[in-house]
Parts: sequence; structure tokens; C-alpha cells
Amino acid sequence: MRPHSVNTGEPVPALTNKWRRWVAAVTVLSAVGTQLSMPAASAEPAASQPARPPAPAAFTAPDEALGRSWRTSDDVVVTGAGDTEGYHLYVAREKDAFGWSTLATLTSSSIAVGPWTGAVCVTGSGRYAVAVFAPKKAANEPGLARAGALAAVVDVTTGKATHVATGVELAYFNPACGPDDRALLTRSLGDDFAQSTELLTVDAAAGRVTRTRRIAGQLTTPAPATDGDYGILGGHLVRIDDRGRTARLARPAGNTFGVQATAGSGIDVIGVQGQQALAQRFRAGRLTTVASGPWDQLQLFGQRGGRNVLVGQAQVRGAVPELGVVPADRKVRTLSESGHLVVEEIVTQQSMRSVGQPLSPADPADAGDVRVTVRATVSGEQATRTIRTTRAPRLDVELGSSTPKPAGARGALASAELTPTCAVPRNDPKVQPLQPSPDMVEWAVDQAVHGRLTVSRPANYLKAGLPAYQPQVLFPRRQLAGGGTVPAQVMLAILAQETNLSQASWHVVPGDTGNPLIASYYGNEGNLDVIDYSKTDCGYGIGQVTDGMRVGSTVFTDTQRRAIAVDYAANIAAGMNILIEKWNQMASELSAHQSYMNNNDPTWVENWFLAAWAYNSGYYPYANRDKNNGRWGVGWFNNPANPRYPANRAPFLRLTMADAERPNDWAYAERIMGWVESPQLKGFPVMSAAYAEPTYGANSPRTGPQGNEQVLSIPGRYAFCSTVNNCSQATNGCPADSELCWWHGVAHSGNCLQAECAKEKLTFGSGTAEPGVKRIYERNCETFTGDKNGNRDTSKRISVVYTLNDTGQYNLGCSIGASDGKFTIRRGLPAGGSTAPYAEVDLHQIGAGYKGHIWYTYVNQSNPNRRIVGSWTPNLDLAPGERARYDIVAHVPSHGADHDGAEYLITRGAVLGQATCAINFAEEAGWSIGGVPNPNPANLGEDKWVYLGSYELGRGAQVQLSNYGTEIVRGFDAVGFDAMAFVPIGTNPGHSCKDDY
Amino acid sequence: MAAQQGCQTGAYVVVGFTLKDQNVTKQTHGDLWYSPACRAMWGDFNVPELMYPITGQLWTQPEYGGVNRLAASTTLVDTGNWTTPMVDWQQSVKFCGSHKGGIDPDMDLPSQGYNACTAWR
Repeated sequence: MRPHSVNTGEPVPALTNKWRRWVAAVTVLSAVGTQLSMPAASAEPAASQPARPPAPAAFTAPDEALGRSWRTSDDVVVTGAGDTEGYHLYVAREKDAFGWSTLATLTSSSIAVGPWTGAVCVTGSGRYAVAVFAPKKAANEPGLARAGALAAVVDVTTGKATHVATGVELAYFNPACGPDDRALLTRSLGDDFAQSTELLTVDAAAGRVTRTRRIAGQLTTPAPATDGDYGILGGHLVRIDDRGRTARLARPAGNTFGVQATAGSGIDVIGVQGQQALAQRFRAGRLTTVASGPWDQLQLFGQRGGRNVLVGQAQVRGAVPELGVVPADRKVRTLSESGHLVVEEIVTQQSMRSVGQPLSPADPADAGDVRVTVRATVSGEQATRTIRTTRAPRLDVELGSSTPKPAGARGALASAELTPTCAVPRNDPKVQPLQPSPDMVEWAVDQAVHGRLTVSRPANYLKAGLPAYQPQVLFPRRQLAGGGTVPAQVMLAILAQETNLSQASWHVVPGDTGNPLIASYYGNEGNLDVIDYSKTDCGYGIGQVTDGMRVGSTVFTDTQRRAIAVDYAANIAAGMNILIEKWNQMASELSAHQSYMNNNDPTWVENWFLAAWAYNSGYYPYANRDKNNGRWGVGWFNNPANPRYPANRAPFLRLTMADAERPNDWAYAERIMGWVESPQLKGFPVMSAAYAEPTYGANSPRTGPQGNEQVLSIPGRYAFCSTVNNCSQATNGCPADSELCWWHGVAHSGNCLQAECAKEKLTFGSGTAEPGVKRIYERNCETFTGDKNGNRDTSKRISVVYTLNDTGQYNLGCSIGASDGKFTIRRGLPAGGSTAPYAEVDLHQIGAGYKGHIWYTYVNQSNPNRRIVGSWTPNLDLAPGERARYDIVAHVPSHGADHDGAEYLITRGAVLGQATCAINFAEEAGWSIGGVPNPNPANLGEDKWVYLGSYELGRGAQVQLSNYGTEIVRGFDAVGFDAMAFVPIGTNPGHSCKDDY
Repeated sequence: MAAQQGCQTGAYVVVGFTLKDQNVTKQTHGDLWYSPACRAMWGDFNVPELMYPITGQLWTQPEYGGVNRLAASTTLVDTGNWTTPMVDWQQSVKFCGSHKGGIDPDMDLPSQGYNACTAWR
């Protein structure tokens, strides 16, 4: 089934303070190789859309910064940044003194995701921006990085956004714009055994893909030109004909990271050769070097009209037609269309915190806040502004279902297809892990690496029904082949990269409990309308433990599997064994076939580069070489020499935290080393490192402005290139794009015995007790008594209906009685029918609300796959046939619900009529004030009880709430199901709908 | 059955339905019963007159949602009463009458009032 897109038809107002958006999901985007692109709908600027608010000028004195002609300039710059709302495009025009405004927001609500990332280019006419966008987590999955992103064309004047392609590559060179209104997109097909590239031609003016060609091999840095299409293949500049055949034109110097066509003067190519960046022009069948500069300070950009510009410290060799130079002393993100403004850096507040503060609830306040640093090229004046994402057209790409529904009752899934294949269920009240705070994670890792993670878990820990256990007794630490231990910082960095240190789902903040974090539980790669249990991943918890977590596996006992799902410490114990196994896989090979770093001593952090690589994309053992064309080792995808990573990249996070905006620019192991050097931060509102930096050797490299900041000895781009994998700097990597590119052997990054490497630093020594969780929300155990209701009839019993019928499953530790009634959920439309399984996908439980449990989902008006109805049915203190008046009081959670139009349906009994009461969760909890998002970044929402009104009720009374509602443009769309109280009031006057309790 | 198990005391009808069959003058009626004492629900089906065989069905769903389960079903070919077995109150329950055999009327298009269900309770 082809994907399609929908247009909400609504501009997006200010995007701040939206509760749901601080959540992120483990699952990511649409399937690898998903069928292509089609333009279906677009995000039009609404007719009633107000004029964009005047953007604050980037410069306070624009005459001085930009020169006096700025008011009449048509220069414009477009750039982008992603957060949990989507990938935002921002535009700044010189006539506005380069004040920023939001051009469009690109997203897909079909995907349960966290933050988005992307890239954008502007076509040669300057009229269209072409963007590729995807969940950041796609960078962790080779298949999704190859072909899991979306693409759209955006009108630079109006912001109209049109979805043009699904399943494209998430790589630094995608999309590629040229001198006209054509753009190119790539889709990388294949795996470690074979690879080809699909090249999609986008007619930006028409807003559609006009052609898709398949090219044998790994094509990178494509470039549309007026006379055809170009790119780099096997180290050569090639021209691609109409059928996807390539013709070698020349071999550029160095390793190309940019190709850009001019309007009529040839093709410019830029690459890294040694310590230099070389810019070359291809014209009339030959390449000529036209400029050079430092390897990391020379970039190539296309501009309006097909003119190119080198940005950086360029030494140009003579005048070159259609090639200009803009000096810069650092790498920049983009350049304006006429070259008057350089965007040096753009980073969202969320990204800064994701480096810094992965699990705080500050994200809703941060969503939409973007920090941009620019420099005027005329004057050199620099300015940094924090801009707020504002009203703009929103493109919401709906992916639809690619899973055909079999025939039968309304296309119901067959019973076998209804059976989850992950062993520990989701949305099970007995499986509610605690989200640890980062210090707990560091403590557990510090203990685990030394085999000391033996804290006693009592029987029924977290109400999971488990016997008493100790994590590293349940999962004894495996021995490293050759002895030694895992450096704590390596394990912490992997946990940071994999899960942001989360045991429970992204929806759960530290101190709360909730569903476990499970990778692709439904086999849907994030698409909420798909269930394919044959494609599940079943990676559980903080370490994403996958092995043994599928139904039928005998690797673990049921107790072990549940402990992995529920207990972060048990998960770390099990997950560390997987990392050890990767090390051992290589270390256990015969010496002639071994792969290792430096002196192969696990003491040193740098020596784990290969194990981290294998942790992400696997290791092919020597013993299986007969199945692999005689090859063994680690695959090509994560090889730093792979041209899918830009050759001019600095080590991840070393220079700027803005690197976190574009994780796909680095190989997995490079990112792990980056997280070791630059630990995630924690704390709200003040951030500090979530774990310790390693202890550097006396001779570890030094960097920084004063040259005194120690860093890791990270391997160079070609450290894993040799004759064994046909890889060399000369060939720009491995031209074979198959198992011939697998690497094995010995690589060097530093002499560890000469103190050039780093080793672990423990924060929590032996015998340190497990830290208490640092809660984001203080536990609220206050019991509802009804005493605040002065109208209460004390002769009758108050009924409180909880959201778990077995209140013994509430596991935050509050004292709690029995539920005086029942709470039920019905899923799908019609309820219980063929859509019921799908409706579970976007249903969540977290430890918010009254006594610490709510269910929640999101508003959806049209999709029967998402329909959820919750019902509270009290056991009212009534005799047969008796009726009595009650105040009904609903608990509104401090977090987990923000729908601003939640309409409760009150059924008063078997023969009485029905009534409704609409509650604004966002207003009640404090997420919005007067319909506007609460601007206070410290606001965390508050628990409260709210009256739904007073009603005469009989036996059989019931309150219901569904997620059927109008999509709310501010995104306040989380529908929460919390406790409900029924307070008898006799003949006393009752309260009205929306009254505060 | 409910009486034998001590559930009848305090039991009450939560919701009911009446079929609309133009071929008969006395319409079939169904009630969904609930006993707080036994935390159980059941259906009671009364067919005073019929032209064609008619089916009573008791459906359930897991408490926190899922696919419908047919807990009990019978087809009456003559007038009379039918009381379903009891089911756990904690789940979602509905009771249906139908001329369509084992097919859940809610999942099919209602036809001429011959098929009806209570709301889920």
C-alpha cells in the first residue's frame, strides 16, 4: 500500500509547553524499502492564517551589520532543526534584518517518536526548500538510516509543504539541490552483503517525484545539474544517465564530502585530503583544483541562480566563474541565497538537553525553542538569538498501513497474528518498571562492571510477581576473554546512545513507573497503524536486551525475562553481558583472525571501539566465513570510512553539542566515544553530567582553545581500511559495497601503554547503596476523602473507581484501598472488533495521577484503529430501585493528559438519561493558561480533582471518556484516564461541571 | 444459576434491549444483570413469540481492552427464557439478541431491528 499524507489544514501555533511532546518513543520510522513516494496532499497555509508575526531582527543595528542596502535585498536563508514536534524549517530574509520566522513544520503523527532530525536545501530558483526528515532514533538503526526518512518540498514564500517521498536515506548529502528547481534524493538499498542506491528526482515546482533510478553501488553526494545528474560512486565523480547507468568522469582528490553544480560553469567537488580540504571544478572533461583550506574549515554551498560559494579559510587559485568565497573560521550550517548571512550553528533547546538532560520534563517548555548563531558576511558581526517556533503550515505525513488485513470478520487479524511475539507483554499492570534517575544508572553500571550488582530485590519487587533476587546473581557477569572488565564509561555511553538511560518507555519520567521501553513490540517500526508480530525486535529496557526476549526462547527463564523488563539493574546486568559477548566474539578468534584495537586490553576505553561497532551492527565470525564468501569481521555500514559520513566531520560532540542534531553524520562507535567524552547531562533546571568522564591518560590527546582539555584517542577515518576490505583513502572507502568491505584485523588509535588512552572512573565504589530515585514529580499519595465537599451526604459511602481494578498493582508505594467499582477500556471501532489490536499501540500506562497510575492515549477523530473508550462503573451505595444525587469528581493528573476538550459522558443509570461535561486537562493541570501554553519553563503541572457536575444516579451509572474529539491545533491532545470519585450529596446543592474540588 | 450461587440477592438489571420484529406482537427482550455480591454479570433472554430461530449471545472483552470473546450463545427455536452462564464483572460485557446466529450484531449492519445489543458495560 502506498503511503499517503494528510493535511491538517491548520497552522501550528506556538509549540511550547505541550506535554506529550517531551515524550519520545523507541520505535522509529517506516520500513526499509517501503514503497515510494507519492505526492498526495500538502500543508496549505490556512486561508485565515494571520500574517506571520514580525520577526525580531537578528541584528540590533542592521545598517552596520548588513550594510545600508539591506532593506531592498532579496537575500533569504532557510535552515532547519528538529524537536519532538517535528522538523521545523525557519526562514530569515535580509529585508527583515534576517529576523527568523517559522516556515513550516514537518512531521508524521503516524509514528510514535521522540525528536526529529533532518536536512534541508534550497533549489536554484530560491523558491523551494527540499527537506528530508526522520526521527533521530533512525540513526541507531542501519536499515532506517538507509531508507527510513521522509521528504517534502516547501514553498519558501508561503510555507506550503508537500510530501514527496517516503523511505529515503538519512544522510548528510540528502537532499541535494541544484541550479534549477530539480532536487535529488537517495534511498540506500541492501545490507552488508550488497548495496545499491535509488536516485529520486524531485520536481520541486510540481511537488512530486518524477523519476526513480536504481544505481548499482553506493552513490553519495548526488548533484543535479542543468545537463544531468552527478554524484560520487567508488571514489569517482560519475554522471548518471536516464536509466541509472553511471559513467566515470574523474577521480577527485581526497574524500569527497560535497558536489555542487553551477549553472553553466561546471561541477564543483570538495573533499578532504590529509590535513587539507581541496575544492576542484570539473569542466570540459577534467578536474582542476581551484581552492584549498584546512580539512575542517572549508565547505561548499550552492546559491540562487546556480552560483557556488566556498565558506571557510579558502585559498583560491585565481578567479573561478560562478564560485565565490565567504571567509569563516569554523564549520557552518548554511549560507543565505545571496551569501550575506552565514548560519554558523542551529540547535534546539531539546537537543541541548538531550545532550544534557535526557530525562527531565523540561522538554515541553523547550519544544520550539531554537538557538541560532549567525554572522553577517559584510561586517563579520555575529549574533546569537533564541527563536521560538511560531505559527506555520504543518505537514503531517500519514504513513497508512502497509499490512494487508486478511479477510474475515471485518478483516480481522488471524488469531496467530494477534499473538505478540515479545515475551513480556505491554500495557500489563504487572509489568511497570520504575524509570530510574541517571545517578541510579551510573551506580548500577559502576557496580555491574565489577560484578557487584547484587542489591537485594524483595519478592514481588515493583508488584511484578517475581521472587526475591539479586541482579548479578540472576544474571552472573560473563568473563571477558582474556580477563579484565568493561570500562563503566563505555557501558554508560551505550546506554545513553541506545535509550537515553531509560528503562521505562520514553513516556515515563524518573520516579514514575510505566510501560517498559520495548523496541518494536508490534513489529511496526513506529507506524501506529501496523502490527506485524513477525517483525518484532523485542529489545527491552535500558540496555535494549533482545536475545532471549521472544516467545518460545529458552535463553532466559520467565523470571529473568520479567526482571529484564521491570528492573533497570537486572537489565543492565543482562545487557552488559551482551556487550561482553561482542568483545568475546572477536577476542575468542584465533590470533590470526582476531580483530582488536591498540593493545587489546579491555581496561582502555578506546579499545572498545570495535565492540561498540559490533553491538550496533553485528560481527561476522571467522567460523561462518564459508557462508559469507570467505569473509569475516565487522560490516561496512559503521565503518568510519563509509562515505555516508562526511569526511570533514570532527569527533562527535567534541566541538559542539549541536552535533546531537545530526547523529546520522557519525558511525555508531564514533557516537559512543562521543558520549564517553561528553556525558549526557541531568538536572532541572540546572544541568550537570549524568555520569563521570573517564580518567584520561597523561598523554591522552589535548584539545580546546587552551589545548588543555583531554579527549579520547579516537581512530581515524581510515583506521579500518586495508586490503582485507578493499578500502582505502584513495578509493574513498570500499567501492565494492558488499561483504568484500567487511573489516578484520588490528587498528590503532593510541598507545595505551604510553598513557595515550583513557580508562574508567567510578563514581560509586564498592558497597555503595543504591541511590534513591530523584523524582521529577514528587509522589502524591493524598487520599480522596470527599471532605472538601461541603455538600456531602455522610450517610452514604463515597465510591472511588481506580484505573486498575486490582489496586494491588499500583506500585508507586502509596497506601491504597480497593476500587469501589470497575474501570474498563474498550479498543477499536466497533469496540472489540478487528481494529481493537491496533488501538493498543498508542495506549500507554504511566505512574501519574491519583496514587500513581493512569492510562492515556491521543485524540483521534477519524481513525478507527486508534479508538479508545474508558469507562468508570461505580458500585454506588444504593438499594434496588433507589436513586440519589452525587457529585462526580474526576482526577486530573499533573502530567499525562493535556487534551483541552475531554468530554465525559455520564450515564446516570438503566433508565435515566445521559449528560456530558467537557474538561480542559491542559488548563486544569496548568499546562495552558487561557488557551495559551504556560510560558513558565519550570511548570510541571499539578494534580487536582475537578467536578463533572452533580447528577441523580441509579444503579448501573457509569462515566465514559473517549479519544474521539477534534484534533486540537495546539497539540493538547493527550487523553488521560485517571481515578473517578462519586460523592453522595443527598438533597444538598451540587457542584457544576468544571468546578474545582 | 445465579440464585443457586447466591448472586440473586441485590442483583439488578444494568441495561436491556428489545428486538423489533414486525412478524410478532410480543417482542423478544434481553437484560444484562449484575450481582455486586458475586461480582458477576449474566444475560437473561425472554422470547415470548417467534417466527424464526433467534440467538442470544453474551460477549466479553478483557478489562483493559482486546478482541471480543463469545462467552455464551444459544439459539431458541421455540418460545421461552434463556439465562446465560455468569461471567466476571470486571471485564466489559454486553448481551445481544439476533437472527444472525453466531455473528456479533454490533459487527454487522443492524437489520430491521432483528438484531440488537446492550451497550458494553
